[in-house]
Amino acid sequence: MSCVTCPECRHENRDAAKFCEECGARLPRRCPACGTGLRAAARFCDECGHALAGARPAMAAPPAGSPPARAAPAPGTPGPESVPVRSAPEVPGPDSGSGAADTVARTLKVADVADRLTAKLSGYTPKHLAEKILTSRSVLEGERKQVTVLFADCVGFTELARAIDPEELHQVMDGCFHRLLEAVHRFEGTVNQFTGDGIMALFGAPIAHEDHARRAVAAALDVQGRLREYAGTLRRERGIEFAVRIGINTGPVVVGKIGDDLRMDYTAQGETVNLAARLQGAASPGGVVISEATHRLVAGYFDTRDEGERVVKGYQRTVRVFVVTGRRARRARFDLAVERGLTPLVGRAAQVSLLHEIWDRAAAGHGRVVSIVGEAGTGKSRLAWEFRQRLEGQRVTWVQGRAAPHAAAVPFHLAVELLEDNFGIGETDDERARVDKVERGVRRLDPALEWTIPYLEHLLGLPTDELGAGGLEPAQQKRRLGEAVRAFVLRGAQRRPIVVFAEDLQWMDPNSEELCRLLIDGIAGQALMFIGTYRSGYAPPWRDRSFHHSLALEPLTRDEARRMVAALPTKLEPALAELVVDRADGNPFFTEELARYLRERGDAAELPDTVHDLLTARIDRLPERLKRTLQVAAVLGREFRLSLLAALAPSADLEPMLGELVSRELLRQKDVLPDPVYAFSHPLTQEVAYRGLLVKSRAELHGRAGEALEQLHGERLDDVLDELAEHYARSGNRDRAVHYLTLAGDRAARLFAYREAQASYARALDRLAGGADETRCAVLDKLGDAAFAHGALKESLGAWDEALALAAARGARRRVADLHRKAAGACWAAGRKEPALAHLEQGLDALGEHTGNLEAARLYHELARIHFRLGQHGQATEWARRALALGQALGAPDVVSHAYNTLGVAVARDGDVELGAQFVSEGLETALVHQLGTVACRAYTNLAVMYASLDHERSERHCREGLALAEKIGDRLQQAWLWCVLAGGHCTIAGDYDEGVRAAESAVGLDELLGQDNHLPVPLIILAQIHQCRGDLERSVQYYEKALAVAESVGEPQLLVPCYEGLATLAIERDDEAGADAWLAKSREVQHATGWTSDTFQVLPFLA
Amino acid sequence: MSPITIGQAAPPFRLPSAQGPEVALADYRGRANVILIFAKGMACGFCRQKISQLARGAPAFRALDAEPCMIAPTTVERGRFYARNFQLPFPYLLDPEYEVYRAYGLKIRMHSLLDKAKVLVAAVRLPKPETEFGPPRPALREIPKLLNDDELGFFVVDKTGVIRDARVVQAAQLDNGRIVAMRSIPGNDEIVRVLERCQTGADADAAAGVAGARRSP
Repeated sequence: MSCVTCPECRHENRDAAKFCEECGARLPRRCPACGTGLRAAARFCDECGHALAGARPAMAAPPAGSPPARAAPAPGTPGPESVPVRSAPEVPGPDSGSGAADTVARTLKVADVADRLTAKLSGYTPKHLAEKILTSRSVLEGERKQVTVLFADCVGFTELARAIDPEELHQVMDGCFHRLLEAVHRFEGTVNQFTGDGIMALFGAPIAHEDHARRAVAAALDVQGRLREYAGTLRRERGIEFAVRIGINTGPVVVGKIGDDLRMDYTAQGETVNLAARLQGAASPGGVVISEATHRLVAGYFDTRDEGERVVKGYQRTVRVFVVTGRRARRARFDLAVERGLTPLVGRAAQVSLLHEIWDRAAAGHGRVVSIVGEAGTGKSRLAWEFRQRLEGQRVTWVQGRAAPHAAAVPFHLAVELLEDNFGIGETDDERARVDKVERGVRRLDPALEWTIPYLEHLLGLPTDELGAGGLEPAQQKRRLGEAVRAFVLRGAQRRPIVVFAEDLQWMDPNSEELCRLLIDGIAGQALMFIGTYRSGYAPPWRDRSFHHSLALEPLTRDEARRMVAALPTKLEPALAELVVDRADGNPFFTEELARYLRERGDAAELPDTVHDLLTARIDRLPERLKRTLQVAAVLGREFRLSLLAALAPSADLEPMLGELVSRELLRQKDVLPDPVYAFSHPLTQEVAYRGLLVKSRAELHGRAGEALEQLHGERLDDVLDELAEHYARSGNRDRAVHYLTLAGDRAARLFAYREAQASYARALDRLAGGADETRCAVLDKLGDAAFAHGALKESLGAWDEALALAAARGARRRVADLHRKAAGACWAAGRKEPALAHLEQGLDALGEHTGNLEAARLYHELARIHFRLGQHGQATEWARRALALGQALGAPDVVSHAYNTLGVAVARDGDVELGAQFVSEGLETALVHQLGTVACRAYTNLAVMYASLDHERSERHCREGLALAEKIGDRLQQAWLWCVLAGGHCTIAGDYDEGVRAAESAVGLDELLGQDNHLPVPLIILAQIHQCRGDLERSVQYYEKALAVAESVGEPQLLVPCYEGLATLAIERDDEAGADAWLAKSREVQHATGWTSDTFQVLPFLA
Repeated sequence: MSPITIGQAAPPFRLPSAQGPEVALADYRGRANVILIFAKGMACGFCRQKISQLARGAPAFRALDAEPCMIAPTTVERGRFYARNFQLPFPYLLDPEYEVYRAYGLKIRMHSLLDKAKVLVAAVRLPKPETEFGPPRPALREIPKLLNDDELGFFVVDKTGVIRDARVVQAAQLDNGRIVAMRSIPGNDEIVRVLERCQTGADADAAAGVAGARRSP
């Protein structure tokens, strides 16, 4: 499109401009349709006949100089999801007529008209928008974007086509399209498609706006306003009923290629586009219907009527629908918050009081400028609002205005906002009222300021003839304009103190900035305070003035954020509240929005659209290369090393770019040397930057990150295993992902972080679905180990069972034997004696003749251990000796230390405690040298029990050491054992029964949690004994009986004998000799079977 | 009754044993040092552990001319039952009326009201320290048992009838803000050390000068 050349300075302005952005001179009017220059009073374009604002309706003719024709896309049917479609999804097409021949003719006619119009209009996008899009299109391509889609469609187009001849139809539709385009472009949307009798427009892409939904709805209302007038004309002059329906929806799309003609390909995500088209059909003629998603974003800015759930054509389910009924007064996000009810101000007390101190000086005639600086959502507007509330009742004039991202190119936009606020000019005021308000305002203030009136009116876009009369040069005129504003404001400040509150200066247009600077330079001796708020990255030209103060709004501390969440009307559970505090990371707006979103939607993983759009727009406003860098960095996580980023995005000026991102406060630098580390300054920025990437390019970048890590770390991959696994897991390179996930699991297991290990293996398994059985079996085996190590008996058994099936199918005998051995251990721990013995048997079978290997040694030991626990002393010693010999021959420390343990307890129970303790100590040493945590814990347990009667101090020391180790390695099975040793120690050594009860109860809790039934009776027996000793016989009986029930199913002598004897002594205390005899008979039976006397169970109560 | 102290002559006693014959302190005179334990007896699992423990140590004790002997408030009938059904490795004397308990200065189930009040106040008012097993629970339900608990005692009487080691703990004693009751005897190794002192000091009888009962722990 053409642009407007300034008659004064020859500067080329965008075609909608009213003033020259270079010199401020008023520009001649031009026809919006064809660009021809117009005379001031023209109501129609004398070139194309286009009706101009305020014109009495007439027929618009096709504009001259239309862009070259291009093939119009045919309205198509919806493609399958995530396949790029150029056309809109199934749009309700022209209805078919009744007579067949007639229908054909009509359809041809309609198609012809539609084609012609589309061809003519489709290239029409204002130049300033076109430039905006084209400069950023390459970064946009392939991004996932939240957009708002607008469908406008002519009501009863088919009937219309039937009623009037093609030429007339062409004219009617042409006028309609022009109005549609004007409205869409006014709000910086782009028309993506002509459907013949309507359009589809996008807001939010390709031009990013954080308020795309509001723009779309505003455009829709604008369209309907313009068309109402147009329809009236048509009705009067041609007797035609004409109206348009509009449907709007918000949702994600993936941006595809953007052509030179600005047409954007996109891939519909879910219902985003389709629903908008369908909603359009649900609107009444002349109406605007929006979806729930859009409503969430615009509620409060527009008046809407909830139509409830409606059946929408083409949808199975009903859809909630809102009708837009009108626009509310100009407002910002913060105004809505005030309306909704503000949350208590948290963490900003110091800043509020500082503002007041500065104000006191300003009001006393020492003008001040204050900058409130902070990220979006840190509470800049809120701070000013609090300040203003406290000025209530003081003599002060408060003037406010706000710069807007879409108006950064509109000359004097902010200045106009401030002046309008000052004169009380509203959107509904017509020209006459505006002029009136300005003139009365100035004269009331000071008649001597009469000379400023033309300038002020000129600035406000009001007709004024007197400006050029002085014969001044344009530059001089511009200076006079500035002086006029300054004189007017400063005179006002002499009457009473003024606060000028200008928000979002980062979007301020240069002319307003210049004007503000001029004003500020004059306030030194005036009762005026200028408060400007802006986001970091902008630096106002007056920042070095001596009377300038800067208030930086820091993120809330964790405690402050917690207090804020607690004060919100939406109460959250503590865990969710913590989640909000974590994710919002000190940003009050995010905190509030996340809390509300979580409350309303309950989805902790998603982001509220409000937050998402704000961050997206912020990232999109970056220059292309910075944005790309930020996105690549986002793939690397919240924190990333420069070396890695450099490998991924090689560029000579990477560091300067990062420096720029740091100065824009999107990143911060954490470490400088040796390899600089950067972090996203807000975690959500990383999240949103990452989400902006298409899944495909994410995967590709993750793959490259993995390779780069491998290269950078070479031999020392251990440090970055998790990162590697993470990157490959997300890259779709399954084999590498499984490889590193398994290694990460191994490493975690080596560090005793068994839960993490289990999680890594589980993720590896997820990625192995359908993979090789052998790998799967190995990973399952390890997963079982990790699960067992932290006490997840069920999960470990599950993994091993599955692995057993795989191994058996492959005929891997040794692995089968080993898995049986492990399963036996887990079954035993769970108190399931029979399956445990069966597994051991099967293990021996599987080994067959192959007995000289590690698997055999381990199996022998497990046989020894379980035979010991079953009181089968001879077999236990026999298997333990075989295991020990084989383990030593093979150099297997785990077998050796376990075998020593088992030998030791067997010998001790047989009467030689000291020799037994020696064996166990041997086992402990081996375990510690080889970092075998679980075996070491087992040895500590046994030693503590053995020394309980020999050496109290040593016993206690072993117990504490064991407990510390068990806690360190997260082995909860062993913790339960050691707590019981400790409980016994508390009771028999320290004599502190309260502590004993506590320790035993902890063990009960753990055993019950883990299902470690082979140990659960131990703490129960200890509790029974404590209560018996204290004389609470009833409770004692209860505990014994509970313990006995489990012990009998386990069948372990060292559990049974204390139960029987305890119950026997309790019976005696009640003089129930017969009952006592019965219990003692049972006890003797067990003792007889084992060959051990009750005395040995007393002195060595519970050996592991 | 004032507590018994080291160096003092051990109060004499003669009691029936669970095993049958009566046993008197005088029976040991000149023949053996006595490891004398006042405990709850077979009715308590922990006491039974101690009996087993002492039985294990018997060879080492015998080498130092010492024999264990337990006095418990068990009735004669129950005592006989235990003797029939369990191995009682050393004399288990029956003192159901707590006569010898009192003679050795041990408090028994009937405390003075003042004692009870003290324990109660302490138990209610003292803050319970954090332990490694999580926050302490109010132990109020345990208080009645503390109030009604017996004191336990551990003494070593040498061949001359002089007390050489005495450990008595009041049923409810305050230790570092906690209510502690001693229900323990020393480990066998420590008992052996005490006995060794008896042997070396038996002639010199130097220990007679050491005043005051040792309180543990």
